[in-house]
Amino acid sequence: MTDSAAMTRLYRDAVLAHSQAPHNFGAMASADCQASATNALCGDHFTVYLRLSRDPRRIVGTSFDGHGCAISMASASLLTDLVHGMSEGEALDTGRRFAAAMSGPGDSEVPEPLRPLTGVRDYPARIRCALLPWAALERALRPADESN
Amino acid sequence: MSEPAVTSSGPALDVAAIRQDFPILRQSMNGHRLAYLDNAASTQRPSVVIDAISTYYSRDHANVHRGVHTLSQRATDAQEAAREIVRQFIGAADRREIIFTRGTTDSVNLVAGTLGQSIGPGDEILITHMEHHSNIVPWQMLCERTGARLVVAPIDSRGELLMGDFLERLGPRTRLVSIVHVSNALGTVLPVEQLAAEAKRRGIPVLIDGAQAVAHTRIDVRALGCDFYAFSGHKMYGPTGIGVLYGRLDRLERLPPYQGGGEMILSVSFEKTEWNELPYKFEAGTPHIAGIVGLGAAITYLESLDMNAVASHESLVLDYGRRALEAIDGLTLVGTAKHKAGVLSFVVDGIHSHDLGTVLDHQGVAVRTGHHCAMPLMSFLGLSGTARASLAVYNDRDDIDQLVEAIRIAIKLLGR
Repeated sequence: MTDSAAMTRLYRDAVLAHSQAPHNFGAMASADCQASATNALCGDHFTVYLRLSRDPRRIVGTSFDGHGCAISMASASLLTDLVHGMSEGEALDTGRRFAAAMSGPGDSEVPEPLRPLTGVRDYPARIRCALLPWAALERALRPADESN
Repeated sequence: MSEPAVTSSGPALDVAAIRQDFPILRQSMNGHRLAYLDNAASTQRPSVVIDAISTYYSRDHANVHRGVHTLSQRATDAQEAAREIVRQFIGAADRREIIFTRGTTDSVNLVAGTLGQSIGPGDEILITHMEHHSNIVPWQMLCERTGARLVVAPIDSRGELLMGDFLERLGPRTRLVSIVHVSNALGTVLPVEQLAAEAKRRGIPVLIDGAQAVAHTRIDVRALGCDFYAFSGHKMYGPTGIGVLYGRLDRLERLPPYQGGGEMILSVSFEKTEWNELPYKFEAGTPHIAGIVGLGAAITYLESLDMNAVASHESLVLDYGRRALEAIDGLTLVGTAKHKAGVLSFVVDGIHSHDLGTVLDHQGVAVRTGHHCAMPLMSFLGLSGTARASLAVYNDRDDIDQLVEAIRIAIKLLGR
């Protein structure tokens, strides 16, 4: 946390690449569900858009828009790549595991594709940045989740 | 008195010696010299303040105004001595005009909470577009309770209050003007003396939020012509959890008590309670005595430096910082009013303020990032937030140089 290595652990090349050229960025006109989340502390705001297939019920299209810091942008970009093809339950579970790994006691593993964000764990004030797009995802899927 | 530091002059400060007075500044931060530039959020404390609190607790503590024993008398004397220090510091006429509160927010809430009884539907409270949330939300709550209306005087993009628009809004239904002295987000120094005079001509009381002013320029509440002046201890080298509401005696006398409890009463029966005299009418419960003692010590410390010298020094560092930041490609200063106090708010192209704050922290530079509790102001400026370097008496050019170097590192790391 005190050396410049920590700085480059936080702002890894992969994080910077995703934040500067985010994947799946832009509103989706034909989304089956969408939801937003805002960090009241900084005003950062994201909307996650999802397209769902019926049988089997899977996430077949993802995008996001909004604005935020490098950490939240990268997290949103990684999210849209990662949950593509997952069932709703798998996506929600991934979000929960990511949140636990970020803010939990420390022994839970960050899901593999989200590893570039591992460095955020050393910055308690920034964890909410990483989790913001995932809050939007959970909100988008929750109605369906409850009807299961 | 409300004039910005640029016009004042005083003996040069020995900043190296002053830095030695603040033990927290002696540490290194993340492998670097600590450049503490988050003073608008909270300043640090000199040893004399820390020692005063420690001495109070280890030698003089008991409850105030309650006991006949020696310790209670010592505590009471210490509290009332601090009240007198505050009175002199802000030029109040009478010690009964100094109410100890938890801070600026509490002071504003005290007025908003007690003024309500004389406010009704259609009445107006006038504020400006650059208020801190603490000078917005209490009035919104008052308006909700009473049917009054919150009226907002606009500013321009430089962070300057539009005087004509302010005067237009000072109408027959205006019951109170509540304005910031120095903007926490932009550093704009408002012409509070002039604004108060305009309100006074119309018989309208004026509250000034002085949280960002008291530690940086000499305040004389009588010269300012305000009815209320609110400030916090922790933004002036004193403890957290202690603040002051100055209120003109005749105004305070007309207000009902804020909270009920001990100390604020003369006699209590279940049929009728008689309120205590000022200032105790507004100081229900055991006060933050150690905080009051610490605040007194902080003011004594500030006075020992000479407020004119303090203002003059901070003005020089501000000017140096403004030029240094302006020279950075891709950096835009936010808030460029003509009269400014020690706040440098800025954005850097393509870098979110939180990312900037994190990189700066790694270089030992502490700044505030985000909306600075002034969301209406940020949305007016079209920004989600800024990075803000804010000055105190112990800051010097080295702090600015370190800030500039850290910003350059952030641009190299994160810039597009």
